[in-house]
Amino acid sequence: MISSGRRRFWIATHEEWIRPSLKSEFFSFIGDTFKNSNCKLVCFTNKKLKQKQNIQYISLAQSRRIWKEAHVILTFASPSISMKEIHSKSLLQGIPVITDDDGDHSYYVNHLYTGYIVDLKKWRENLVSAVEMMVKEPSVWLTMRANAKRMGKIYWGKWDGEV
Amino acid sequence: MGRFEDCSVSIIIPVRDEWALTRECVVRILQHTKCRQVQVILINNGSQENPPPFLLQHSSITWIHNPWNRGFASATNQGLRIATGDYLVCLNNDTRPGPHWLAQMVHVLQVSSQYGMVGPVSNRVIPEQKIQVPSFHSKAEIDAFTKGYNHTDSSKWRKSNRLSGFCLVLPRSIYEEIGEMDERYGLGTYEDDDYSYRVRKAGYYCMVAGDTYLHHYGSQSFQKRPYQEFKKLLKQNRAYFIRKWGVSPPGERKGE
Repeated sequence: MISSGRRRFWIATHEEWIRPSLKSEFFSFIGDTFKNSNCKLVCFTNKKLKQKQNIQYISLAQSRRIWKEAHVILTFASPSISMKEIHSKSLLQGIPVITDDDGDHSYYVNHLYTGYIVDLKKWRENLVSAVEMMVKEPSVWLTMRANAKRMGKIYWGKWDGEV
Repeated sequence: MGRFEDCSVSIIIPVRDEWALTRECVVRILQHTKCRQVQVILINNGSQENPPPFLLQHSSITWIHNPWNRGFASATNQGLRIATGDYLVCLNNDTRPGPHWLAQMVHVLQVSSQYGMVGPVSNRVIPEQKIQVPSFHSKAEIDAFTKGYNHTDSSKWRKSNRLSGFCLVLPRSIYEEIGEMDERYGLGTYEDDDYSYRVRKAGYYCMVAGDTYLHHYGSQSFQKRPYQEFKKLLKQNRAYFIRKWGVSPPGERKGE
């Protein structure tokens, strides 16, 4: 269980940002891990899914307004899906990103700087480490937030300029 | 060739806490850098503890205070932007400069305009710059070793594919030509490989001043997180270097 004290901390994701092979295991793990904590996962989807204690499903129509208020964006998408737009938009808003190192997913997020890169072979423990770090050490999250905003502004539209 | 005594230097040191080490480093700089003007630029990179008054009030120190940790490259760039010296030094705060440390490295740069950037040899550094040193049991022993070692000897200079960012010395003209450090290396690692690569790509040599020893206590700021997190940082930044330049970081050895 992640202990978060009184501070509410919520993570946004999207049904398409979690790879199909991981989906059921992922949501079950998050449900268990976030139980009795102040952490919440908000998943944007149009599917009618049963709400859980710490997982909330919100319609895609509402996602545009709500995602900007997230503490963190989480993406474990299929490697074939580019995360460039999602991640760079998130950084620009000053929202750190937790993602994996498949495909281009880690290209726009710097580990421990603008987010956290999860090693998919150890995704459960890495995910707990990432969330714990951000929740228990608010300065870490604030630093990531500030760097995300700065990097998002500097590199907006030119992430691939030199690479 | 100008005399070192007539030069001005700017020494840029990003700092995140570790004020005792920083104080030691700055005191040694001021003691052993004998040139016309020494500008020490300390970039307080989101430290949790306040800097000691000795450093805050010192007239040779220019301060930049960042409310958060902007990473090594970004902080160094802030310092480089306000640096006024003829020669620019990017230095880690966990170093212990000794006699002639900078005069000898500037001398290397003055010998040939083809020498674009120079770094010293050390105890904790990449293999290209590493030398065997005795086990030091005190600072006095470090100082005695440094004093005995640092005698100008151009036969010890050598070209290198890369230089470690723990101490980089370059003429202002090279900085103006090459530009700033790449901030996409985030928190740090590989930005020095990147800069070395750019210097060499522009047609200059990176030089190891084999006659100049600079003691390095070593990677203090990364030791606060588990090593696996540091490894991820290395892996990610190495991958970025390869994506950017299409080659592996030059000089790296198996297992690095």
